[in-house]
Amino acid sequence: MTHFSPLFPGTTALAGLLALGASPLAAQSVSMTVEASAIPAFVAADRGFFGALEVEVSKVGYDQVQALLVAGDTDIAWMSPIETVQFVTEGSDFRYFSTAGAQNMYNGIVVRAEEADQYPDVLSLEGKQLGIPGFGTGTWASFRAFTRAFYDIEDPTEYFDVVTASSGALLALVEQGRVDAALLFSGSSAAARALPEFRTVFSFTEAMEAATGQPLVINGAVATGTWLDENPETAAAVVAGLDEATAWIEANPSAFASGGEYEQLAQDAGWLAGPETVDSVLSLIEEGKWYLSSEDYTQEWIGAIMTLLADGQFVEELPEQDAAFLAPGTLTASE
Amino acid sequence: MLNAAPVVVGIGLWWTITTFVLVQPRLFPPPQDVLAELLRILSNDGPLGPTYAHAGATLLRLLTAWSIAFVIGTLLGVLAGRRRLVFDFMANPVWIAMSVPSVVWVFILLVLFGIENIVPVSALVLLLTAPVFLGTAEGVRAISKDLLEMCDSYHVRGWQRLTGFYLPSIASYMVANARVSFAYGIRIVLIAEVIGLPNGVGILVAYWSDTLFMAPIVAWGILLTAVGMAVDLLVFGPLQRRIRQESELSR
Repeated sequence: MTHFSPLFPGTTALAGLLALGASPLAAQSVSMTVEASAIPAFVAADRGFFGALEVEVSKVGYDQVQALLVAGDTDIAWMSPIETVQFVTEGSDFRYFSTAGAQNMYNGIVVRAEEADQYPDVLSLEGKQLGIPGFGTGTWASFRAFTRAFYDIEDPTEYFDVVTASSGALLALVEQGRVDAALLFSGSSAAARALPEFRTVFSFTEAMEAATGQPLVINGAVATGTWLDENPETAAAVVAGLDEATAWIEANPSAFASGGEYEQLAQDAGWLAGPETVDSVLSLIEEGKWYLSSEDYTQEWIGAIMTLLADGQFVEELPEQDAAFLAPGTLTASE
Repeated sequence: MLNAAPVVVGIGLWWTITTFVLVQPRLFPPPQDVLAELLRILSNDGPLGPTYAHAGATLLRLLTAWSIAFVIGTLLGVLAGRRRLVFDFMANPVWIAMSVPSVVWVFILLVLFGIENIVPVSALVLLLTAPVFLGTAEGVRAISKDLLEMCDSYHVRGWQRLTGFYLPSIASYMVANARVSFAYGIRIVLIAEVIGLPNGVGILVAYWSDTLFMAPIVAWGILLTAVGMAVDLLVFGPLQRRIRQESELSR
C-alpha cells in the first residue's frame, strides 16, 4: 500500500497532535519515505503491524528518500547506515535507529561464470575493467571503504580500470564480455547470484561477516535526532511493526512469488526478474538471511561499521558514534 | 538593459526564496553557492578530475555527432524533398528515431557496443538526423517549381545542382535546422553520458545528483546554457542574418 506524502507532513503531524492533545512522545501519525526494496515497511502498513500508529509509507526513488529527509518532508527515511554517517559528517542531524527490516547488502561484484577461475576474488581483478553504477553512489562509496579497510587498495580507481554505466546495463555488459566484472545494485546482484552465467566474487555483507562477524545492510530506519528525541515511543512502535513484518515475510515467502499476495511488491523490488532470481531471493528470506531484525542492532554491529569507515578512510573525520547512530536499547527503554 | 531586467529580478527572487523560505542550501542552493561552484568549475577543479577534460569530451562528442547528423540529414532531406518515394520510405524510420526516448537508444547501443564513445555519438546521430531531415525536406519542397524547371532547362544536375542550387535555396532552413539540432544535442548528450561512459559532463552531473548536491548541477546547467547561447549568438545568429540579407539583395 503506497500513499503519497502531504507537502508538509511535519506540520500535519503537529496539527494532529495538538488536536488530539496527545503526548509528543506518542505521535499518532508518522510519514515514512522508502524506496522499492523496503518491503517490510509496505507489509507492516498493509497488515496493520504498526498498530494504532498511522504510518504513511510513501515510495520514491533512492535519491529522493535522502532529499526528502534533508528537506524535512518526511519523519522517517529508509537509508544506508554508511550514507547516514556521510550525511552527519556533512552537517545533517540524521540518526540511524534500527536494523528492523533492513536488507542485507548482498550487492557485490560479479564476473562471467566461465572466468570465475581466472577471477576468484577482488584482488584478482587488478587492472581489469570494472563497471560500477556511478562514482556518487553509496555502493561505490562503500566499496571504496572496503577496498582500503580489507584489501589494502589505496585507490580502487587506479587498481581497477573503472568505467561507469547504469546498473541495469552492467549485468548485460558483463554477460557480453564488454567489461570483466561489475559492481551491482541489489536487484541486479540478486539476479546475478541466481543465474548460471555469473559468479559473485564479492558481496559486501559476506565480506563484512568474514572480517568482523557482523553483517552490512543496504538500508534501515533513519530519522533526525530531533524527531527521535521528541518521538521515542513512535519510533519504537515503527521498529516493532517492522520486526513483525519481517517475521511475517520470513514465514510467508510464497506471498512474494508470482501470483502471490505481494507479487507487485516483489516485482517493484526486482525479485521477479526471472525464476532463478525469485528462487534465490525467497530462499535467502526463508533462511532468515535477507532481512535483519531490531535484535541485530547492537553496539558490536555499530562498532563494526564505525571501524570499517575509520579503516577505509571513508571521510576525513568520522563523527561521534552517537551522532550518527541511536544508542541500542534507547527505544526499548522508553517504551 | 531591458533584456537583463528579467534575469536580475529572477536572481533576486531566487536569493530571497533560498535565503528566507527554502533554507536548505544542499537542495536549494542560493545564487552565491552556485557562483562558487561556477568558479570552481572554471578553475578546472572537479571531484572526478579536471573539469575541462570532462567538458572537452562532452563537446567533442556533441560536435562530432551533430556534424554527422547534419550532413546525413541534409542530404537525405534534399532527396526526400525532391522524391516523394524517398520521403515515404524514410517517414517511418524518422518517426521511430524521433519518438523512441533517448534513454532507450542509449541503452540499446550500450549493450551493443559497450562503454565506448560510439554509444553517445550514435544515439545523438540517430536523434538529431531526424529533425534535420524533416526541416530540409520541407525546405526543398518550398522551392519554386519555376526555378526547378529553369535548372532542368540549363541541364544543371547532380553535384552542381545540389551545391549550386538546392543548398543555397534552403540555406535559411539549414541554419534553422542547425540551431534546433545543436540545442537538442546539448540536452541529449548528457543523458547518454549518464548511462554509460567513463567521462563527460553527464558523469559529473550524475555524481552530484547521487551525492545530493544541487549547486554544482545548477552551475553546469548555467554553463551549458551559456555555451548554447554563445554558439547561437556568435555562429548561427550572424549566419542567419547574412543569409537573410543576401536573400533580400537577390530579390
